[in-house]
Amino acid sequence: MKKLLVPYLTAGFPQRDWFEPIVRAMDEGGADYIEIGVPFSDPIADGPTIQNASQVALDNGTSARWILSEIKRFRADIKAELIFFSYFNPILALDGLAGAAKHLKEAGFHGVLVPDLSLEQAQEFAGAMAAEGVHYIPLIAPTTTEDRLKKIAPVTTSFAYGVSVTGVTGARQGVAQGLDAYLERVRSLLQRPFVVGFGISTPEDARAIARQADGVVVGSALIRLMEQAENLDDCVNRVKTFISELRTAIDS
Amino acid sequence: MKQTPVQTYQQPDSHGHFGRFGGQYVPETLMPALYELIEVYQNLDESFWREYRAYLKDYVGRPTPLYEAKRWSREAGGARIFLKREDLNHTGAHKINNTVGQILLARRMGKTRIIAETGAGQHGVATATVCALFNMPCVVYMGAEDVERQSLNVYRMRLLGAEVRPVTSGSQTLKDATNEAIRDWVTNVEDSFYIIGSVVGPHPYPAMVRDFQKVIGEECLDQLAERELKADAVVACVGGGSNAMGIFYPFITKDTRLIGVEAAGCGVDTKEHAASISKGKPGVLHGAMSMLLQDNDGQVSLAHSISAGLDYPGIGPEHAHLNDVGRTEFVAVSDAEALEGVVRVSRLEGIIPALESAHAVAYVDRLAPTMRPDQVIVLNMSGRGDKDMNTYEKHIDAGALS
Repeated sequence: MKKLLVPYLTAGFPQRDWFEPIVRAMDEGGADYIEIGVPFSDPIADGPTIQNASQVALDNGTSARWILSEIKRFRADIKAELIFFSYFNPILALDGLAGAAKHLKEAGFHGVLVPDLSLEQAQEFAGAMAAEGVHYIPLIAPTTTEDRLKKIAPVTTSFAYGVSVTGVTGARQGVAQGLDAYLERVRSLLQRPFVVGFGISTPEDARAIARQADGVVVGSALIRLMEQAENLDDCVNRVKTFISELRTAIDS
Repeated sequence: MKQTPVQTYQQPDSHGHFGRFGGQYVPETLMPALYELIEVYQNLDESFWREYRAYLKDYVGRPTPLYEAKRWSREAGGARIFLKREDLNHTGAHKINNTVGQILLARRMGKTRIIAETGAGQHGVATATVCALFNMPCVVYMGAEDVERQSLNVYRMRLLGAEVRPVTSGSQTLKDATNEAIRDWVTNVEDSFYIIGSVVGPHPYPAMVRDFQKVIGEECLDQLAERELKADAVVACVGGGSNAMGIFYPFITKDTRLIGVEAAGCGVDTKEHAASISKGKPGVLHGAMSMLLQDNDGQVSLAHSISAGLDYPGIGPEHAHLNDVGRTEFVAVSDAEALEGVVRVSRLEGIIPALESAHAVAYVDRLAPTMRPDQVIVLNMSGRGDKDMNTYEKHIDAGALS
């Protein structure tokens, strides 16, 4: 099976009008799914890089409604599937769960990922999303027990997101140790594909992870590229080149 | 306002829901740790509670007195006002009731490192205190702005051996300190125990902190019974709401008005307040659904109060529920009124209250004259004012007072 490449961006970072060109660059670079991050005032699962990106995006006036209207406008041009990546409270504010599901469907989102929504709280949420054909993407962590994996497996309708480390998002030196046993456990109990993220910052990291998982998520490393960009053209080039390199690495 | 009586009360449900509030909104990484905590907490044996009560008696100094404020009652002209003297606890506030309970739990669970968040620094000091007592390493997250505002408490924590980490993200106050404490917990969940300071956070924290604080209300019931009295109203200030929950809880099934006092800051009709019940909407912050100050996009608003302990945009989920079902009522008191409250009990009773507690004082001053002289108000004097002297000096010209 082809390995999945899943880049993440915080919408509205570093500038609001760079959003569409960055999404297009990720698509053209060869992304399979693109995680569209909704900035939030209190991102408890994120390290300093994405915390900062969130704050900048909020200061730029980025909101979930703005993101939805933008995506709706250029969705047809993008080949990759789109994942709405948001903390729970901004989703609730989109006219409740049923309302949010309708908005996501109308904008053309494939799935939704909520880092602070536990499986225990997700039942009503996943139901509302499923009613509109939007996939709930569950999270799995190294601390997730076998019992919990058995509950997560049946609600996984598209793919699951495995967190590589106990910790917050952020680029790290090298990939976490002791992943093998954890990824084996996930593979044996999950029927659907699972991608792995948190701390993957180089094509080498991505290649190593892709040997054991069905795909990789890259977030903070991309945000850092965007931080360093001198202008929009430079940003688009850097993003596209990096995505292509990741693509080559995981396909090899 | 008429409150709805409750005959029986059994909250939360097994997933930590208080009506439509509460629950567990946390990253998956933390869920197994929460289950472990629930398992241990729900199966505590009598030896745990014996140990807890022994520390409260001999170390904290409980029971705290229920003191009748006779001069103030006369001046206010109405109901008899009683003060539950939580300010007389070791470390100067009710916070230590909870930290004693949680550190004993952490020890039973074999955790070797303690994390806490703090706003005004009272919970940080109470945590640093029990960590010194039990020889556990302690990291306290505190907003950089609060580190400035509450430098005396920062020094107290450091003297007790804790590491205070200033948090420079977001608004640099309690909300952001809590975010950072949660991030540390997610990263070090194997060996670290997070001592949350209020009736907030994911299940089981709101119920557990309540259970460690309900000793306040239980003592009040005994102390009233000794005097052959019953309380017509119980009043407490509410930020996250632990002192209020602690005194309210044993009264929920009694015929007693329960009144929470939120911080109105510069006024609830300005943008500068911390009145989550009066002005918030349901939302999720720090692991639970509750009433939350937020904008139309679901971004959390900055709270404001002169009191760092009430400067929080959320409130405990059980408070939101009790308000929902009409069992409690909430009022709001401004910065200026709270400062008047400070002067009132300082001059009439020789008791200098914490800024947080002064909000409850200011409301009782309004409430007492509307009640009969045979009626009884119990006010939770949740903390003493020593930590607030710099603020008082800045805002109150003591020499010019009559």
